[in-house]
Amino acid sequence: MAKKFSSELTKNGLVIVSGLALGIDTIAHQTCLEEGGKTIAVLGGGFHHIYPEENTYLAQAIVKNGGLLISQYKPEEQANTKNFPKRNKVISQVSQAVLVIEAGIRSGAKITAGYAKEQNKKVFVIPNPLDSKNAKGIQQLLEKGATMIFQSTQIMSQLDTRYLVPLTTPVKLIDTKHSEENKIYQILLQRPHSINEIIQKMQDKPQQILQKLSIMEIEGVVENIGNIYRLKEKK
Amino acid sequence: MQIYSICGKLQYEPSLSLQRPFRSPHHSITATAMLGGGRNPLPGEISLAHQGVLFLDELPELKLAVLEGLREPLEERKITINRNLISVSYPCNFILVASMNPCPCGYYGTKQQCKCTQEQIRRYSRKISGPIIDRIDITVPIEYIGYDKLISSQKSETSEKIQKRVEKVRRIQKERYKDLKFQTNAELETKYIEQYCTLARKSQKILENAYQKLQLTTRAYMKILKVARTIADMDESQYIQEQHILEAISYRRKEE
Repeated sequence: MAKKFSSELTKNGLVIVSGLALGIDTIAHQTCLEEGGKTIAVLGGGFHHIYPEENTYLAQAIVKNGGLLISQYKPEEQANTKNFPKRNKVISQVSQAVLVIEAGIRSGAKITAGYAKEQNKKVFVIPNPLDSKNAKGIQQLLEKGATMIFQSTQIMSQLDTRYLVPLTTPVKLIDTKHSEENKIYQILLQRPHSINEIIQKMQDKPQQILQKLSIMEIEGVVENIGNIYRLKEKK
Repeated sequence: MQIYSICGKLQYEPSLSLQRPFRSPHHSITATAMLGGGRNPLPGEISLAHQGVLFLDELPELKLAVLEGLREPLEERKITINRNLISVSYPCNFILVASMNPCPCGYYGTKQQCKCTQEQIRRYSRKISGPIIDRIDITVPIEYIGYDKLISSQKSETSEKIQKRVEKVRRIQKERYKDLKFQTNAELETKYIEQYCTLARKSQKILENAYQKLQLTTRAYMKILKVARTIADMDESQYIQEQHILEAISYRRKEE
């Protein structure tokens, strides 16, 4: 969904703003660049410490294609999860409207939407499956006056068209250093996988994949629950 | 051999050879049969597996007392049995190999649909307590083999080849510990760990991170070091490199 909306909105000339985090943020930025759009990433730390490190290539691509990296912190300041709610405030501040793709009860997306409301910006949500853990936050947002949309055109009709940008050449993103970790991440985004399944899908030496999984586990991206790996829920 | 002689079992092992034992008691075994004991204390399966392999199939089906009774022997590599008039120590330096299903129906985490509830799965895996898991060096998932793979002509590595590799690594270890009382990384005593498990600088950093972020126990930390030492030996690397540590970390399993 993030990909579909990011792609359609970019094609309509919108600038996509997000937080450079793993998951939806990454998809939003990536898709926008791939469509030749401009995108803004708001950081939770200084410019010298792109977080997460895997997305350094993405940050570089954003700037190279006429986008922006915005930070309220000194360049040498480390990214800190405590900063993230404040970072989210900036995300909504620089935006015309906020589209929430998924929102757990205590998610960053909900925080951003909350600020957007305070700042009198429009908040859009899309339907989520009722049984998904991300539907609860969507429901709460709806109760607070968010608008549910089914198509990107519904967003376009409600925005100020003065701020649209022309498309440039599409970018092909290749992250050489972290491509494997990203691949694993994409696999786990669908559902939790056992080690063997990941190895089969990755078609690489098992040792190498195990090493990558360990790195991701230490970084707190994935967790190992009895030989099944899944993405770690953000607190 | 002496242990077999005590049990009067020598006659059943006619070769009197130096072959290492392989014991695989049924999961209904009692604590006495496993650990040793009786009025006139005899060695149990763990001692019969001394210098060899003790294979426990269906690990969660073992009686709790049997399973938990393995804790000290796994650490001490010997067991002391006390009876009112007598106290006997038997050696039990064995390699524990165990197998278990991921859940009662056996399909959890595979492509097949698992029929168990989350609670059943949790209860099943909780039968293996944290301290026991903590003492197991390597865990590997083994998956259902599809029909096409079963009949596939593509040969995997032969056991002979693997044996050569294992023998090479054991030679390296024997050489390294030639002045000490033990021969393998697994037996490495804590006081020697720093001396022999030399970490490259980057590995040190990774392990430090892992210890904090993954909330490892001290025992798990030592275990990872020893496993990493063995992986490094397979690479014939003098120092434990990043990739060795990372691989070792992935083999550990946590209590659910």
